[in-house]
Amino acid sequence: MNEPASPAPDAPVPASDVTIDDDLRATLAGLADVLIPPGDDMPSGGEVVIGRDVLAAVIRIRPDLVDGLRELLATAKGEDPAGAVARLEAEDAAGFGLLTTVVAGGYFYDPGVREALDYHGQQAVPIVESDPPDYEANGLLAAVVARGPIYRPTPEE
Amino acid sequence: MTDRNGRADVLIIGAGASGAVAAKRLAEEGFDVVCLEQGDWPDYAKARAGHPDFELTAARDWSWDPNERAWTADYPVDDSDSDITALMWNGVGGGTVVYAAHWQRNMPSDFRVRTLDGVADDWPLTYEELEPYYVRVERDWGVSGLAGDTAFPPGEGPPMPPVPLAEMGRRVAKAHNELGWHWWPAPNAIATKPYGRLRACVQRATCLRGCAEGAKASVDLTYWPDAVELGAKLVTGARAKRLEVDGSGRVTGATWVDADGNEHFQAADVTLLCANGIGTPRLLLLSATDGQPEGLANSSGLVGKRLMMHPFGTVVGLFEDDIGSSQGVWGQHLHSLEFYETDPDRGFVRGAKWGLQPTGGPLAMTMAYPWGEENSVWGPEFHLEIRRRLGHSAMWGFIFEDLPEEDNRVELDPDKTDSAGIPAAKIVYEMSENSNRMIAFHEQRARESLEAAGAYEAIVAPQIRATGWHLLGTCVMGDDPETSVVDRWGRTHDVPNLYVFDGSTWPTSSGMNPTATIAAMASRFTDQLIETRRDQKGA
Repeated sequence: MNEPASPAPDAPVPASDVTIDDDLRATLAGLADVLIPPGDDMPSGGEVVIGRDVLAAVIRIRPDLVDGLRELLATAKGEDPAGAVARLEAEDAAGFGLLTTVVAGGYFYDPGVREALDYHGQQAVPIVESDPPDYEANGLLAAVVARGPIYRPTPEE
Repeated sequence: MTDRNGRADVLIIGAGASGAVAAKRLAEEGFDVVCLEQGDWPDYAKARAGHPDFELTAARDWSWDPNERAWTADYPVDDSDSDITALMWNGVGGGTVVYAAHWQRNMPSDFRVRTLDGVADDWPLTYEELEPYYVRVERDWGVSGLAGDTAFPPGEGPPMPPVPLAEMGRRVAKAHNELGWHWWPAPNAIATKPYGRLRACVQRATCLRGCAEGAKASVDLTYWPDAVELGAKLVTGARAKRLEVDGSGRVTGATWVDADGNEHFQAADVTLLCANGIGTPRLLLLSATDGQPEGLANSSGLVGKRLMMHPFGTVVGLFEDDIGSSQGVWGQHLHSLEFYETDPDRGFVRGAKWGLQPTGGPLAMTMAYPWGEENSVWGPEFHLEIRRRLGHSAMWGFIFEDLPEEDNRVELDPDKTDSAGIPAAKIVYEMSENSNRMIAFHEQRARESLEAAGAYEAIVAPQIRATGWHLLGTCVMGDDPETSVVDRWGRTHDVPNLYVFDGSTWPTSSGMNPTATIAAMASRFTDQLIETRRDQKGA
């Protein structure tokens, strides 16, 4: 019988020797640029995922996605990137989901992108009890109470 | 505890909510308890809420869909003939490991659906009979909230203060006051301060993917460690294959298969099924005998029938300013039961509970749910769309009551098996016209709610299949053996030492998240089992 697990501290992402070759990386960069073009002072998907090599981190974190990604990229290789993205979105929901997970997941994993978005992860925000509680401020809850019960009571037998 | 060559007083199948409540209570009273759980303890090292890889790993390591996970502990569920996909967590804690911890008592009318609305069935108990058990499990569980909710009879409230309303909640509360609509600080099985084995919540809004903080009350944290300390034996990796029956028709115990495929037998005087609304009828159907070829305890023919899964819906509101909605509890900040009770003018019966929730991190902003494929972020508007949504959106989630229909059902799959060769489950489920009308009505009201709260746009999420978190009704409870599987105490009419303690027993589904009532019912059933211990005759 196992002991109950308890919340664990950070565990390092294991290193990976899995790679994706240059042709497929170039294909991925093209698809990523279609999904996430540059603009609004933000880099493109290709610039982040391939240019900053966030792909290596994604592969370490999600090695289970690599085979599917290789297959998808091999199919899209040589195809117009916009056409390939449109084809996947229309015809291959699972493949499109895999591609967008790698591209957007990698994009938002990048510290520079997070900084630019002013997004710093799912932060710890301890609950602080206010006095009065926020639900009582400005008579918020008192108005509900004043409206009275809204349930149907148990009928008499 | 007595040594009877491994024979237990009570055998429990399944270590989720109902199994945990029963095991701890029975162990407190000195019963020799063995629980067979097909999965393992949750691995919270994989709960990555505080780490940059959270959004990349969450759906893989905390998937709700057994067909996606396909772990050894999972059995396939063929849902090809179902409008809704069945979701579950097969491990210690059961669904509470990945639930949103919305802790909703049923309302009094939920127990009197036939009497009040002329449809379905009344429950063989009232709200008032169950109320003391709600109070008990709310203390054992670790629930936060506020007494005095005008949607319920007066009574004792949860032991911890509610989670904050947050900015989204304050806006919606003010709007509902202007509309004259109900809202209340939400009840959650989330600790707002250290409580027993629970730590205080830090509002990472990651509750559905394993709580990394140990703040969400899941029974692997709140019940099982105590039950084990009290002497209950919890056997993990133990897949129940069938219940065995002696010549008198009593259950002698269960044959189970370990992770290596080896068969074992656990003998017991009394057996409790706590394996959820699919796993429990599956095991009864697997346990058919020559004398009961349609499945054990199935003289009514209702084992597996009347499956209810709660259609689910979402409406998202977009706000101009940052309302901090990537954080919070998930969980719910407030709830509304304004449209819960039946109003015949609406064109449908029964109703739904609303829970106000955050929307999460940036990757969640790219998903087809709840945003809709027609609102795709990909392409030239990507950055604009992400900034529009991230931190600027709040959503209502709805639990729609579905009524029991015999055609909606669980069967044994004639072809598929789990990895040990045990037949899989197949579900057949069609959403009713009543449900469709209810969904349309509530989604329109929710638009009005969010727009009144200041949202400049409200998006109705598409109706998707992967929402079957609540598996109910498949071993219906009642007084008449011809029209029910178990009696009002969870005991099967056909087999006197066999009980069902999980949500399978529900005559109707209510429009609430079911864990509070599953737990309270399990507590009530267990008390009765203890009180009648001298009347129990084993095999």
